[in-house]
Amino acid sequence: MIEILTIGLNTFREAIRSKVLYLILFFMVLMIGSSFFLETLALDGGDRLIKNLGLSTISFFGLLVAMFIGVNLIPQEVESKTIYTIVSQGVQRWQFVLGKFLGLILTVYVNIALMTVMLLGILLYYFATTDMIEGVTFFWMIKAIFMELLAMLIVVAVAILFSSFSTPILSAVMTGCVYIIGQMTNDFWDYIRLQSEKQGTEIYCAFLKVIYYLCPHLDMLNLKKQVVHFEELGAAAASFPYGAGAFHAITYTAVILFIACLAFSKRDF
Amino acid sequence: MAVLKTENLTKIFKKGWKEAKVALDGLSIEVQEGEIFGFLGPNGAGKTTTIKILLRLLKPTSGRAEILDKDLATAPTRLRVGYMPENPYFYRFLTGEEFLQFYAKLNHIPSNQRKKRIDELIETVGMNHARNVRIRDYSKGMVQRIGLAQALMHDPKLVLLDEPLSGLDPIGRKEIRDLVYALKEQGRTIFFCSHILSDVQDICDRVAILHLGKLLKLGSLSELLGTEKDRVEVELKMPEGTTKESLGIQGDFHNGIFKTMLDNTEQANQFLDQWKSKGAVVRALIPQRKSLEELFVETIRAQDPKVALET
Repeated sequence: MIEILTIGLNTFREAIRSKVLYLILFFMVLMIGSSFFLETLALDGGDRLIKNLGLSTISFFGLLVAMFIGVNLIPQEVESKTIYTIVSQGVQRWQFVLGKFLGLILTVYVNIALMTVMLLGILLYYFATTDMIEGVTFFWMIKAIFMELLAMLIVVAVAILFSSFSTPILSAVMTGCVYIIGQMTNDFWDYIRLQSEKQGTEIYCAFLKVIYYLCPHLDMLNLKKQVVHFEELGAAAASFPYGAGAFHAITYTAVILFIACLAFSKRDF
Repeated sequence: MAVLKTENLTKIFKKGWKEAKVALDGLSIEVQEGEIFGFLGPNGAGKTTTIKILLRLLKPTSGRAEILDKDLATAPTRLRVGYMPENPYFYRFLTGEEFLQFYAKLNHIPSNQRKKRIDELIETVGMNHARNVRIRDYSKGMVQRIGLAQALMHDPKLVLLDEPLSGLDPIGRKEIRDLVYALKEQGRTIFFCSHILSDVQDICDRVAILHLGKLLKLGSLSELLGTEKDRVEVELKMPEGTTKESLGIQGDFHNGIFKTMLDNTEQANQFLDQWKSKGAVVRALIPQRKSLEELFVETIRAQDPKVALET
């Protein structure tokens, strides 16, 4: 355990001393900050724009950190040969992979924490200046961000999986693709249902279903619609399947990390 | 007692469906406790492949290896082996001390003993002045030294050094050589891969020469190079009108000065008698032992006359 923790904290330290992170952080602040000014242009309530843009920024920039920092973590250690010295001192490869995952998820979470503070601050200021008291909004925001933290487990695990056997560029592209597909699994299911109504598409649909079940269901963890439109959705918003989403995130992450550890353990250097 | 032993160690890399490259071909060596063992060979000889197998970063295709009497295939994860890679790029964002702390934690050194151990190692490699400087600001020699410190963190009995002298200036090379001597004095066994043969000759007790994965020579320096200085370097000022063609043997001939190496004293006497009678003047006669570099080039060329060597 101490090995995983040590590698994780070292990875985190490496990430927070990296220029790439500060560049991402700069654009993140710019995006969330812009919602503060853009809300005056919104037609149907400035708070909706702040919430919408804020939550999208958190999700998108979490992905960017996983993509631009995460996919380099393992190839960089192989290139610089630090992995050789770590393995020679008795650290097992699976411990190394889990350590890298821990460090990256910690980096992403610290970023999300910073964004959350900023976003809630802007919302608070908005409500204070418009004489609105929206305690329920904050409650929904916290729930949405919590689900986003779970979604990031999957994204980071996928980035680590690809980087355990592939090049950084390919890993970044693949992670991005998995993220996009993961956000659209509901639409994908609708498409499969439509196709299955046609004749002679059994094999094609079976193939699509396999892909559907293999993909992470990130939209199960996306509460943005509920947060932005909870007044209209009413009871439908309250019935969001939190438990199923959390279970999916944790099991999917565990399986992906297991495969990453296996792939890295079998790899020849 | 053998600290490291390989038996018929073979590694074949598959390239596509049909092609295969033999990186290591039945390597059998033994490294004895307390010795500095030089592991030599041109690029592509199989040195790094051997080290990677010993570190369990690669699985051999066949054969076996033992470290400290334990078969590598079944040995526990933690073996007392230290490793310093060739041209390492360690965590550039860490200071030297933070870097060593990382390895101390990986080795489960209790927090109350960690500082003492790091202080000892920093002292050993002479890096006290730069312990709080980030590694990205280190010179190449400093990176090698801090790399050596991490390799020693868990007090290993066997230390594998992959090209520890490459890219260093003469002072840096001397410092690392002195450190290697100091490690030997502490009773450690050193497995030393290097291209810099003059340094290997100075510090190694035994050497192995590898080419294209095959072991070509193995033995102590006296076994391989001989103990007697029976060769003679001769330098003569030749009489006017001498041409290179008229000399009859290989050597350097410039501005009337001829310099050559003769295999024994009889040959040297014969050559001197022949040319002194024609008016040549002896400028120097130096007894020589064969150098490791000459042996290396001879051995590799005998196996593969077309090989381009960088020594």
